Amino acid sequence: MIDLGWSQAQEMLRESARGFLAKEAPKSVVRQIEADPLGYSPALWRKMADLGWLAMPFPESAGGVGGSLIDAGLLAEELGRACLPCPYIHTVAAGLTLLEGGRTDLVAKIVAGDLVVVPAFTEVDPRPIPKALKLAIVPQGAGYRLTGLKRFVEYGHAANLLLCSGRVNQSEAEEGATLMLVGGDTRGLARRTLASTGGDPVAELEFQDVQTDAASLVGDAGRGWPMIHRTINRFLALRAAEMAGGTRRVLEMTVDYTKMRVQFGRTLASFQAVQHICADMAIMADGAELAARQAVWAVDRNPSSDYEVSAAKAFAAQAYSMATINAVQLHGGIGYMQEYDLQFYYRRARSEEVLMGTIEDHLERVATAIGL
Amino acid sequence: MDFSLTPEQEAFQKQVRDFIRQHLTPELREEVEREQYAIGPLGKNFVRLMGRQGWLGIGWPKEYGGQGRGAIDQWIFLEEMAAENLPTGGLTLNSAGPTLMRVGSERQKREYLPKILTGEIEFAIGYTEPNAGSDLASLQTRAVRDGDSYVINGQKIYTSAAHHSTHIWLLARTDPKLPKHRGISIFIVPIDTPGVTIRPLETMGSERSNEVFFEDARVPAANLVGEENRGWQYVTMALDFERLMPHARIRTHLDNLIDYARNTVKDGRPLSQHYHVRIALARLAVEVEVLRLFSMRCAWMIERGQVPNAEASVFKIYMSELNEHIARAAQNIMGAYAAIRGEDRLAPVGGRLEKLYRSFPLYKFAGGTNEVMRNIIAQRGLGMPRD
Repeated sequence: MIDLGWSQAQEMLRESARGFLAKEAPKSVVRQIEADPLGYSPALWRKMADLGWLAMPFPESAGGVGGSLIDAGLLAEELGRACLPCPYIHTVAAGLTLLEGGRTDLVAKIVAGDLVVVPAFTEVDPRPIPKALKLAIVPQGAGYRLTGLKRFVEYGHAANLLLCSGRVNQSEAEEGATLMLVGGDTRGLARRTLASTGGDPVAELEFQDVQTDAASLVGDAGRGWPMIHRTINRFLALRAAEMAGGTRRVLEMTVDYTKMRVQFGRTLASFQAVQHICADMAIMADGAELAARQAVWAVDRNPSSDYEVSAAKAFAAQAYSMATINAVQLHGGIGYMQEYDLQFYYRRARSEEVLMGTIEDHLERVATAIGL
Repeated sequence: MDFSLTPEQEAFQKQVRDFIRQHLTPELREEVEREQYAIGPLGKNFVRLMGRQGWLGIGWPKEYGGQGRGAIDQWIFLEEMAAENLPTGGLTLNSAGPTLMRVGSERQKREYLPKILTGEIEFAIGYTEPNAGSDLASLQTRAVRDGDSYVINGQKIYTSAAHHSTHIWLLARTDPKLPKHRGISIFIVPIDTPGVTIRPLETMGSERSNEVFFEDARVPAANLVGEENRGWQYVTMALDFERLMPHARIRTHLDNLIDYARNTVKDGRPLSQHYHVRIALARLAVEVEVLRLFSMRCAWMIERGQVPNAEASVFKIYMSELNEHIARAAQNIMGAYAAIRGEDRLAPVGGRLEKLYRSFPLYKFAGGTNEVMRNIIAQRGLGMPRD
């Protein structure tokens, strides 16, 4: 039955999340996190775990609370509103894949807040597609040896565990793709953060004969693409939700500012030219929210929902970029200042737009999904 | 959070589709494509058939002969009809009828409502005047009480349904001394009333529209709807009944363009295999998807007893501008063929996208200009100042 609203329990979750983030993650904290090489706050992570956020989408049998991805999507919107760098959606997406792979031991650690695990899927060609996948995985002894490069891995430098895609052949096809868990401090793995626009840390990982054991394989060797694909969709649906949350917040900040700012003896908000830009931002914010929520809902039912996911990612990226650019324009000088909060959203919108597939990459995916 | 229909709603959707499949003849299809908003003889028959089978009143309360279905069911019905470009009774069904239910006299309800439901009565909406468009409340057409009747003088314009309607749902000024919003009343004027003259207007988009002139046109006082001088209030109330808006018609435009791209070879492969064409089509597909969600949101709100306000304006702006996006994309994808009209055998997809290029401006100003719609979003949706 069509129901585009949150349930009562979800409304309460949203209220508590918003309250928590307002208190614990104001922009002064975001500023500190951006300055810290770690790139997220373990103390906040612990508190999120205590609030049950990391238990949200996991079944009770794995230590979770039996919620759904929709609850995680709600939290992703709130994290987007707060513009808080934190590997939440990454760990949730990777965790659901670990659950599929039967690693309830690791899921239990995620739920407890003891484990940050992120997908490491992209390389020199930053698109998450089979032909861009090169990292070599070769059987060695009882385990595997990994050689190659991962790039644009969000929180890859700080994660305890990396859920790495690689391949056991030289092909460009789905066949051969393999999922492997690699500890962050494994010998032969060199990690460095890139100087990125967004302030949410993005890493390059170099694998020089990195040795893993047999238990590190997730799923079957050479037949990992369906799992990788589902992880990508779960992650991107949550990413769209995060961007939708950021878009909404930027619109609110802009409306509030224009209502207060007086020029020519009247508020900026009273000018029709300003109202119409805000109306356009509202249209995009509404669309991003609906598309993202639909994507999360669709992925929760069927993780292969490429159409809904890529439509949402493409649209939310468009919306977030458009909203932040217009927000800076309507704020004028103050919006351009590093000490003002808008710049966090402006920079984040840019990095989230291009990570894990640009708008056009996702439109190409939509084209395929609609049979072109 | 749920974006899916119930099994009952899916069954109802199938029922609507079956009905359409049974009655949509090639001739009717050809006529609705040619006539667009106007309704030709076959369309008129189709509306009456829907009336006889109870489809027109699916959203009307049972006490007035309707099926009393909820907003989501009505939305499903409208989507299926829009996907085939079929008429659904328009503003007569969803604006004039519900207004009569609320404020009409017992006699008016008896006289008009059953015939609206069978498609025998259709109202042309007589609101806009040459000097009263977005500022509708400054309308000047006068209705003066004279014994048991009102005498009407003035002019309406862009009365697009006048030539195939039985009555005009007329907004006229009854008291010029009151503030402009308060001296207005609604009248039901039979189209054949002496003193009513219809002059055709042709549009750039090949739709038929009309001017309607009133010269001492006399209607019985019993044709006043509700109370004198409260017409503005009724009109704004009626706007709330018009917020169920399907999106599917736009999908047919995109489908036409996708068909063209699939079946047209350029540089040795179908256009649908060219990167820039795929991206352009996918971009439009995403926009159509978002439009569908905007449409669904309005239906869902009404189902819950809320009145979509800014949300309806969001839909209207997005719908009308998406028409423009599709027409513009068609220009790029079809090249010189995009500018060949349907009557020429060289016209791609029957000239339907060529026609869209000529008609998309209509959607951006009709039914409330997009500028007024943006004011509504800013002021009612975002709480920005009215002045």
